[in-house]
Amino acid sequence: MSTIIPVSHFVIFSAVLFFIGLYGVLVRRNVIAVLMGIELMLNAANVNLVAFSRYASHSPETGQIFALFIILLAGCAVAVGLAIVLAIYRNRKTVDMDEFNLLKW
Amino acid sequence: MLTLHLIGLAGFYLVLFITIAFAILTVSLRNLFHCALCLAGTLLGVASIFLFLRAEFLGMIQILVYVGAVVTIMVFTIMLTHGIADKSVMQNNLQSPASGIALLCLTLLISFCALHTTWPYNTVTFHSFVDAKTLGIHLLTEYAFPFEIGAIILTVALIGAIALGRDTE
Repeated sequence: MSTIIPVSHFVIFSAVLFFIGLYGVLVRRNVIAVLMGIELMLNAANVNLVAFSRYASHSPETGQIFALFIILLAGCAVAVGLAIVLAIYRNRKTVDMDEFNLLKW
Repeated sequence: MLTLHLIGLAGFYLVLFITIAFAILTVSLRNLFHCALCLAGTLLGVASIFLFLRAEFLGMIQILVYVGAVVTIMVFTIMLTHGIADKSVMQNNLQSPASGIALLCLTLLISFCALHTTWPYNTVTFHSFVDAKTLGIHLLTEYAFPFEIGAIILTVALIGAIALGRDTE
């Protein structure tokens, strides 16, 4: 009588969130907006992991521990990334991605 | 009983839809501070999905770390840097239509593949109970090595962020 939500719905939701984050990374000109897209992608992966650890894994805590480590590393990535953004802003006075073209040919 | 179950299902799909809506707003708003607030809304939606999947400890950690710390440091950096928010400056670069179409096609492809796959299903796992105590025991016994490496990475990352971000004059 109680219908179980099929795991494919979680997979589709995770894919949609991932591609929205990827759109943010590819398209936005502000560096901080790119970092927000990266956070969306990591959260999509987390949702996928926890859904599969609840539905189809032999040990139900493995996916959650993996997601915990991803949260940890995402926090580290944002901290270091924003420190880099501050250093670049101090030098170039802009956070526009199109202006960071010193390494371009 | 059936009505309550249907209301629960409707609420779940509403939470999914609201999370996707906040995510779309995050990548498309012009004012960067509004984008940070929509990112906080998206992360709260993901935390409630974790609660739906009965991963309560992970949901609370998500709210503490992501909404509480990551969004806060992003708002700090937004306030410290002067972003491009003028109405005449375009906020997307030139790959906006092409990447939009390509990513939409990829989304439809993955959704089609996900709906036509028979995913495995484990009844014992589905009805099991994972709480903070179980996670703590597993973190310190079976996954102790990545736990310690994660602690080292966290220390190194924070020292590196301070070293990169400090004022050297």
